[in-house]
Amino acid sequence: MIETLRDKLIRHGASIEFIDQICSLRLNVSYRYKTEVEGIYDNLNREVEVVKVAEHQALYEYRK
Amino acid sequence: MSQLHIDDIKISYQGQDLSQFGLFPLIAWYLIDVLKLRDYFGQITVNKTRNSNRNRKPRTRDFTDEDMCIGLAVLPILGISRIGQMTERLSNEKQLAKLLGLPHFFDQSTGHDYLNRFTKWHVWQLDKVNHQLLLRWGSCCTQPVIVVDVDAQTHTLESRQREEALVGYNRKKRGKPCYQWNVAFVCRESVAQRLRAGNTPCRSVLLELLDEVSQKLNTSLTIVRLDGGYLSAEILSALRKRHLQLIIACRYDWVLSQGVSVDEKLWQRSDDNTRLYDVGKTPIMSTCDHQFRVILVEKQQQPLPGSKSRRKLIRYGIGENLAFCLDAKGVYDFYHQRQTIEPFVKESTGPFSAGKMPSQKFRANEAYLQLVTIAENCMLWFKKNCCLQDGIAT
Repeated sequence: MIETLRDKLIRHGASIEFIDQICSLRLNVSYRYKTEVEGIYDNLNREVEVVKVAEHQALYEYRK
Repeated sequence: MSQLHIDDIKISYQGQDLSQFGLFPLIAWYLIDVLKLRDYFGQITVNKTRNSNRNRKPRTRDFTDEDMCIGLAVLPILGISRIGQMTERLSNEKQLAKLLGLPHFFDQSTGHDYLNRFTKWHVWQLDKVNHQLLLRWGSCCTQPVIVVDVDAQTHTLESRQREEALVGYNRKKRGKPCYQWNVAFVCRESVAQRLRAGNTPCRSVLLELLDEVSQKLNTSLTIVRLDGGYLSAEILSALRKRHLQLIIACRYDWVLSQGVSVDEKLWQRSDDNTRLYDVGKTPIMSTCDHQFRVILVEKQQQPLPGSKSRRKLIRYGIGENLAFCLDAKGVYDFYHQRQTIEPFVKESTGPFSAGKMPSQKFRANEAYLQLVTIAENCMLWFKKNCCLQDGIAT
């Protein structure tokens, strides 16, 4: 059975530390999906930057 | 006497940084800082009672509408199937709550109470949130050709005490009260939905749904892809009147009863288990005079490994009036692209846990399904935008 993305990300215990808007996650060294998580992290980092630059576009007018 | 492997165990309770939902903060980051979901949920006014008849000071609540909606929307993503499990699973998750902007996770009674206060107006507000998210983040609005897939799902309920829970079409649990949930998708994104009482046929809401999709995307629809449940003379006529191109599954025996003769030599083999037969233009049911091009399909269904069931022969037809010409295999493949919406249905009943209705009130259940839809759309964009494009992530 294929493991879904949410299985890979969510079904693993971790320690979460959240200080001054910086969140650190600590997982076991044996965590199997490091490459995927690093890819997601890089993409997210880029997305957050883009949103910050174009923040005025975050909410569209509701047309109905 | 053998020596113990473990001499003693010492337990200490310290820190607040452990979570059973490992890398959920990545998803939370996406929801909060990329999609800005809290801003969208700011439009919900369940906690703001205006024009109340009773002239009294409004009750101050610990959680705002944004907090409640975010909290409820992440439940299906975290795999928590019932609001009743919230207290048990999330009371310890202080850091996760902080990441989502909540002081702490609310308990299950607060969650149920909040959902029970939803009215039709508030459900419409959630629908509006989904619409705004689709306009901003979805790919359905930018398609040159709009292909709408509509699917119906039956939600069986345990009790007849629930509002609108009536006995109706329920293939798996016959005679049980249920709801009928119809969802319209464009590009796998859920655009419009209707929850109805169990005895409502799915055909009765189809045109409503199509109108809503067209209005929301602010464009005219081109192609509608439907399964056999929507086959009726009224639907076929109505869709033709609207000049919509249609591709729909139809009954094999109904097509043959229109006087179609099948020549065994003209069957084309599509793969090891599938044969296709191009009938050409013919009516697909006796009560409708319109002619459609029909492809007959004969498929040997292989049993799952380990299953005791035998190979089964499935026969059906695919009727179409598309403006472009496809060969039999092309029509078959185009119709089966409809299966891309099946993960939504599967996920919504499975991991997204929409199969379990949280309340006795109809509007509360409708609101919960809207929240599940928003969560599923957000996860779809998360997969599309943030995951590696190598097909590993599913």
